Amino acid sequence: MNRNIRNCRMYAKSLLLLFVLGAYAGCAAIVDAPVQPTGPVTDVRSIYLPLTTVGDTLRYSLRDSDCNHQLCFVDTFAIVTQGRIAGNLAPGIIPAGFDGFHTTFPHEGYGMDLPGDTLFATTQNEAYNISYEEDHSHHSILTHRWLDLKQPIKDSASWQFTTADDGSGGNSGPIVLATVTLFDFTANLDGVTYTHVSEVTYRDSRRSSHDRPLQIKWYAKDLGLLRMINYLDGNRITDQRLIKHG
Amino acid sequence: MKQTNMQSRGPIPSAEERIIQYMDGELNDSDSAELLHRASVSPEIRQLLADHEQLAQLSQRAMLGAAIPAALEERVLAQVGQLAAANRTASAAFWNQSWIKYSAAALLLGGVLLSAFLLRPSDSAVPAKHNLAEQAPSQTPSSLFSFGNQAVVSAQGAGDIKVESRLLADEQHAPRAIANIRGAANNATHASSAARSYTSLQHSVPSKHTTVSAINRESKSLTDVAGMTPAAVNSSAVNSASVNSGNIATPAPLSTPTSVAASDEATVAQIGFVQNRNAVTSVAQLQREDSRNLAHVHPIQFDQPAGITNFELGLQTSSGFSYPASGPNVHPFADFRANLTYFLDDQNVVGFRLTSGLFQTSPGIVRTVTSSATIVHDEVTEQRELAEELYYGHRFLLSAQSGLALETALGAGLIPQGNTIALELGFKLPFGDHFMGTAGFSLMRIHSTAPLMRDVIANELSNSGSTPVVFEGSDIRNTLNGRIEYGFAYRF
Repeated sequence: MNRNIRNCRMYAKSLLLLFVLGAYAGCAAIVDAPVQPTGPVTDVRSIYLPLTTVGDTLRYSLRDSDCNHQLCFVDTFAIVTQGRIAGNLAPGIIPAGFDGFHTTFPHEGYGMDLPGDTLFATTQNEAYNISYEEDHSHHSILTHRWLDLKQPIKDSASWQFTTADDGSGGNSGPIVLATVTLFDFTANLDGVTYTHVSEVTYRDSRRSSHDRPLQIKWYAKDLGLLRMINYLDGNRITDQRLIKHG
Repeated sequence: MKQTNMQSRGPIPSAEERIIQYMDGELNDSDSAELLHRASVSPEIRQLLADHEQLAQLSQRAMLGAAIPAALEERVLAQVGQLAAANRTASAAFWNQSWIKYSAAALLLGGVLLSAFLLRPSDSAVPAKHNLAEQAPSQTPSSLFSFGNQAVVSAQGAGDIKVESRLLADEQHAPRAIANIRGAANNATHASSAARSYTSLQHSVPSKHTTVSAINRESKSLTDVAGMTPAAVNSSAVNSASVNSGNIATPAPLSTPTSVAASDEATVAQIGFVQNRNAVTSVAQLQREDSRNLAHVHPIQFDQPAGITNFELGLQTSSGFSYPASGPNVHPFADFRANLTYFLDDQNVVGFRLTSGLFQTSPGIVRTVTSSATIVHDEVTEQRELAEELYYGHRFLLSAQSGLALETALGAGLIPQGNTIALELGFKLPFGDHFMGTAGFSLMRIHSTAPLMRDVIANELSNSGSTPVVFEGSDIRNTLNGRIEYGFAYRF
């Protein structure tokens, strides 16, 4: 066989091989990385903003379904403080062993039932949302503890708690059943996409799952509270969404 | 005319090889000059050159006015026919060996034979000679799918036919044409002829008809005129003009035996003694120089069984893995496929393939609207889909004895909401004139054209307004399937 023909064939094959390899390599990703299944969250502190980010703020928008005018849309914000400082702000409120950070929701709206100061008290196992208010009539402080999270946080995980009111000297209120209804999903909230979001639905344990819940909260990893929906009396709903942080 | 140096690769040829090339007219001017120079300074080379020139002159004189006796021609053709029949039965004999049966069974069951053959010592590189006059036909290994296995039919004396089968693993190592006229002249009554039969190339040369020049291109011509004497040559040498009614004009004094064609039908045997003024001329060269002389040289039909077409149908199943996988990584009998292959030539194939396989594709978006958000779920999951592919393959013969061939292939295809590209490496082992077992490994990249998460969310946001959108699933769109494939193929 003619040498030139052989060489031409060899070159052609080499070019073909290079083309194939190049096409293969040209693919940005021959395969996509597999999605590593997220395991249960065993340290609920990882869900909140790290306490080292003292001074960081979280700004929320709040929308009330009962409002039909623009002023019902208000901004609120939270300020992260260190646990010790938060404890100083509310001595005796944060239980021993808890870290916490302090948030303030100033009343900027009209006719809004906005919470007052709030403390998030956390340990590795639990995260409480503690709100307090002074009972002027009894010269005492009313404290409400809402067990936001309890490890392990995973799909369909649930826990129960009773809101406490030490102003009356004992536990009161309904037994709340918290259930992780969505775990580790991606959400787009007002144009911003968040990952590793979990949704917890809080219900009155005496009611069925078809009834309206008491509250739904979204938590984003390293951000904390991302969204809070309160189902109030009647059909009134408040929807508080994170719009900015940092 | 400037000649083309046929010594394209391999070690430096010996002086005698150079002389043979020179006699065959295969050396270019510079190589010819070099050879003559070497002959001028080396008595041994000079003597060799003289011997070859003498032999060429003998053969040239022998062909003058000579013709093949009818009886001899009949015997030659009969032997060629027997050779073809022996070749056809060879593969069956090959499969009578028990280990082959077990290996074939393993091949079909799980591709285990793949590694077995990789570890098996190769015997393809060892030339084997088989004298059909002394050995049973079953001992002549050949098969429909063998490559480069060529037999030489040489005439000894009065039509005694000796057949040599030389196994060639690669055409690069094919023995060059050797015109070996032995002995002296006293047997004027013995007609002699040289015939060549290419018992292989059936698989590698799908076209049944190949011209004489094709033989030269393949550099596989072997002519062994054994035991001939000059007188025998003188009296019985075959003039090309007398062969096959060829009437090839031979204008010059020197000649050499050249091509002989034989078909499995034993229809044609051509023995061409052609000549040039100063050196023996190859048929290919003669064809270029004087097409008129070759006007009656019919295309050679290789020893390929009748009824073999260029089409091949294959059925395979496969087991393998997917990565990333939504389910189990390993799947037995993951794919079932049928492919229709067309042989472009001896080594190159193209084909169409239908595959019912497991692919990681998106089943579509599932949308759920809750009081708090719109939840969309989209994730590639393992689904059985029908894929249509086109592929190109290149086959290499690994063992001429068994017909074991290696095939590399590149394919691309379509699946619902996606496309594929695949690289394959497989082995094909014939176990009959038409059937062969196949085993191989393929790596296929599957790309799903389902929309990405950001596109899904954007689309949902445009529909849902301020309602948050929750996306469940993953953005995996490119996955890899690795498959060990095994099955069989049937060549029509």
